[in-house]
Amino acid sequence: MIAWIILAPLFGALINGILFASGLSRRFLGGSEHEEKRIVGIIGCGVVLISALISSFLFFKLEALHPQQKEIIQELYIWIPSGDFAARFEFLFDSLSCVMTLVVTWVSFLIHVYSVGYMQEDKSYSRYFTYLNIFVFFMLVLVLGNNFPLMFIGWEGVGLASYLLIGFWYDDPAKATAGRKAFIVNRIGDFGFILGIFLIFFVFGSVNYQEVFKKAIDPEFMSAIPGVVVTTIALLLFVGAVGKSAQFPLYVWLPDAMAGPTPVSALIHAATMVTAGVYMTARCNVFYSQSPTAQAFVVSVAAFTALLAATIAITQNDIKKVLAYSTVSQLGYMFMGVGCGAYAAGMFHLVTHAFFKALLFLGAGSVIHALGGEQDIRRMGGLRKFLPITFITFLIGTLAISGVPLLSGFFSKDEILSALYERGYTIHWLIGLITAVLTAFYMMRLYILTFGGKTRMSEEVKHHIHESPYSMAIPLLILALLSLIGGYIGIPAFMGKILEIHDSNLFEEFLGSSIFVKWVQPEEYYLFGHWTLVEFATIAAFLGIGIAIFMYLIKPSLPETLAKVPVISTLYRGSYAKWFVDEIYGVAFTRTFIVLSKDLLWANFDVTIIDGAVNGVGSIARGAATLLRTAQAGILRFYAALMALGAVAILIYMVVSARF
Amino acid sequence: MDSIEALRSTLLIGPELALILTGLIVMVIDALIKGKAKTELFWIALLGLAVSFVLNLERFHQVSSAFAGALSLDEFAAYFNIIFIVGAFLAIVLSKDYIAKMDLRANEYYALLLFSTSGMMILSSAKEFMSLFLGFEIMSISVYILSGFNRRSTRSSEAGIKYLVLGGFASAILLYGIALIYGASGTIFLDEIAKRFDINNPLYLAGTALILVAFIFKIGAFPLHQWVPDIYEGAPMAVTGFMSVGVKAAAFAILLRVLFEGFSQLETSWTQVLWIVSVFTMTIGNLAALTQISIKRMLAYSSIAHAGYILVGVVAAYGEKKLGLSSVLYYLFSYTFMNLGAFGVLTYLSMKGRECETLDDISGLWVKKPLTAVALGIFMLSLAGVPPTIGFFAKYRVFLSGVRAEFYWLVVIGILNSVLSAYYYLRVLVYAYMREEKVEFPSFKPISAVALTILTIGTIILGIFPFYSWDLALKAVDSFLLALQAR
Repeated sequence: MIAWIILAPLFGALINGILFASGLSRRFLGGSEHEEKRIVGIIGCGVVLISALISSFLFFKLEALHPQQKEIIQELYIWIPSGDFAARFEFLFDSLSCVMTLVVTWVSFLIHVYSVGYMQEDKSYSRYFTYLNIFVFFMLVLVLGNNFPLMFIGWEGVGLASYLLIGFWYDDPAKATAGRKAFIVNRIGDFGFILGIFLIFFVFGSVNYQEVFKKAIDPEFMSAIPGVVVTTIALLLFVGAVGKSAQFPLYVWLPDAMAGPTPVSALIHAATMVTAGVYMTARCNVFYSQSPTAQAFVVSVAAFTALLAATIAITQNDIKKVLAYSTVSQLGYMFMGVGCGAYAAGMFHLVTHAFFKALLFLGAGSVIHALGGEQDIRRMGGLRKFLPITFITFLIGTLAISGVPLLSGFFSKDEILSALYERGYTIHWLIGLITAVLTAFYMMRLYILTFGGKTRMSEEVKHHIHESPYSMAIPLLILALLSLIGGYIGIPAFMGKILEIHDSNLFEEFLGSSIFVKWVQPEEYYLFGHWTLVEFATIAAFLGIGIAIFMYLIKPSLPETLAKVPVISTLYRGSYAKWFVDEIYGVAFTRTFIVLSKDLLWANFDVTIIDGAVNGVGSIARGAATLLRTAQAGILRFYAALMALGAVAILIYMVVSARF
Repeated sequence: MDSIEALRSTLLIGPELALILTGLIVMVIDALIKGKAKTELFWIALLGLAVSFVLNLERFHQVSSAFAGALSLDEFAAYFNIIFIVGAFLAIVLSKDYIAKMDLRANEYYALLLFSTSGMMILSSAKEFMSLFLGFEIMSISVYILSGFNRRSTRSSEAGIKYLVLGGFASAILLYGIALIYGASGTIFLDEIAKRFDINNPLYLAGTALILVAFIFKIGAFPLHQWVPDIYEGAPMAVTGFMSVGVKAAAFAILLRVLFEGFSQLETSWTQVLWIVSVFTMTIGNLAALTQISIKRMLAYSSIAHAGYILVGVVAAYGEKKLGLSSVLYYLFSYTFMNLGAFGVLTYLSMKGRECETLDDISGLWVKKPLTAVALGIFMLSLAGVPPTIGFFAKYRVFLSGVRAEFYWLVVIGILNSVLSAYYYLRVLVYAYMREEKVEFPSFKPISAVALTILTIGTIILGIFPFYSWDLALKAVDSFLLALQAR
């Protein structure tokens, strides 16, 4: 059953790829391009819908199981059996992978449907759906695999799909370069990840989740293992997560990844793939829970990333760039959650973020689509009149991500912030709050500059503007609904008790069976109670929204006036230039690497030693070849002579070695 | 041997008979029908192979021996027969369009392929030297003719002659070895030889060495590998594909049988020899392949290198009988798919009167023929040993058995060689995927396309689900080892 969730998108990719993307069907079956696109779209969306339906069915099946054994395991077969190590094709459907699978399949389905409209005019329509289905396939392998090698296969596979889709319009060198950048930066992270897997196998003698985790929570087994080993495992795995989930210092690929089609940005670079690191950290919770050092490191990196990305997002003018940095920042929140041990809170934010960030990206896509490719918000404005559905849904997304009470982002962000505070990460909590203000500010700014105020579009663009087709509007509406109410699956216990809904956090309870080390709240005095924390978060959201409204709606001249203040203008330029991180990397790594490899290694080592060796071998081989070729009649005798020599050599060796 | 025994034995060798009869039928029908295409012959040949395949499957259920113990119709032989029949079948399917393109005469071509295959089958079951030599020559002589089959091409004719002379030389060495062993032991049966084997008698040692030399020649290993590139390059493409998988597998089959059944007392000695042979074979094959511009010649050197990898399995059998031998069997099975596939793509891409041979000839393939390019990519990756293809699994098994048998250095050298080989396999893909188109490509040909599809799917699917063929190899080796213990 589980296998079919994974196989359905694979079949979709195979059919679309072999039959349509290759041009086979057009050659042999004929049919118009329009018809072909329709079939491709139906297959592409249909297979993901199948996955989504099966995973929903399995969710109910899982719910019916005993709370202590909430897992369904299916073994397809053992791929490489060899001694202790067995690479099994085995899938695990427990509460954690259930949450991920539901998010991945349903959000993917909506984005696939949206793509039918968005990519309608593209000439590589079938190639697009092939890649998209490949992505879903690998993502599901990553999520549902029951061992680290399978997760790694999925991990690399989604990286490949991401690379293919970022560079989807490969005619444009800048886009192809962005694809390569993503691929290379991710390699650095993957290296850490695979080292982590090796270390796990070395220490625990297995790569299977159940076996590893069972040993890892066994105090007797763990007493023999020094703490630094667990910390190393946790940190190596986190290096992988830093690459895939775009954390500092490896986040630089994600903003560039916006070169891909917008639905791809929504699916891969916002809702699903980039959250793989969060999922992996939650999956390996047993290591993190046992290593306070690793936890502190993760939370600190995450907090820094969240703040850094938010400070960049406030000044960007490209609608997708703002959302990209926002994604980096929100991923920081998720890692703060899973890093401090509040795995359920981190996963909860992952879910709600998937809803509202997919919504925002798709909304942005709708705007770009309507404006014929325009992405600069300075040339937008006043779009609410032209694009009513996009406008209302985008507003909902903006409010949700800002953390306005009772919307989905409010609950999840608040969970993380409270967890940080209660677990003693007070400074990180403060950073989280500041980031929340910034988040609300840049999102409201984005919204106002795009939809609010007067229009700054050219007449020509205004003439062509049109609301998106149904296939794009309906996913927007559904995601907006989810952003509105999605947070109610995880109402905090203290709110639930007072409101008499449910006296525990349902989401946390559901995930409970996958989290091995339970955190017990210490009986100590906190300066702030639950409700006070909620109030802080609420104030932060409204503060950010308020400043944005004041600056861009009430007093639109204010930003320019502010820009003349010396300190602020310096900060503005720094933020606008993304704190020169790309340039610094360019000098520190790329340039050095080029110098090292080209001027030093290539000029000296390669040319003299490697080329020398290769040329040497080559010229010997060539020399020998010419020697043989020169005399046509001589060859045969020469060969026969060599054969005789060889035969004699073997004969002598055999006789001598056996006799003595 | 009375007439009843002869009749019983004749009935038992159904798979071999089916091929020989089909070959004869092909020749007779060829004389009866007119016209040039003669498609009927093609279908008759395929039918014959199909019948032979089905009859051969029976041997997995019932092991028997025929002609007073001259042939052992066991699972070991049956496994190899599958390789031969599948290889011949696909080679024939690939040949049909090729024959038309090169304007060759179809009649003897099919018959010779069938005869050659029957020779291989006799070889894989041979339990004594007469049948061994018979099979050896039936196989070889047919292949000599096939190598020179394109009479209008001087290169092909040259390859045929060269192969004939050098092959004859190898046969002479084999016969000499057989004569020495017979002189020492007074028998030609392997089981009997094993019983009478005397390490202190130099005749046995010399005989073993000479027979080993002949087999090393046939598998194309150092130091008797020089013929391989010339003859592989000169022979018609489809024949090269067939030779590189069929003849090699047959030579390995008889190598294993003779060494383990007949000369097991000298195991330490010939394992040492094969260790050295393996190292040099891999290294020389790979180094030479690096500089080739012709893909066909590159594949010839690569086939030398692969013979080296397979020998790792034979060497490993010294400590790990079951694992080592089954890894050899499995490797040959896998190699059939990927190597025939690689030659198949080149066969498919050959134009009228001109073979697709150099790197420039496949330049820009991806743009013009994406699916063919994908197939080529899969075969190259498989030959390089990239997972999840069948080639990865084969190499993995061979090296694993080497590690288990504690031949660590051999495995290290093998893996380094394997890394080296990635360079020239991937270079083919660089040309196919990233370079501009230089030559015209032929139009779509359904029959060849079917063969390529089967090979491609086999290379991938058998890599993802390796167990069925692996289990079969284990079973074949089990029966082989059981028979060894029983005597």
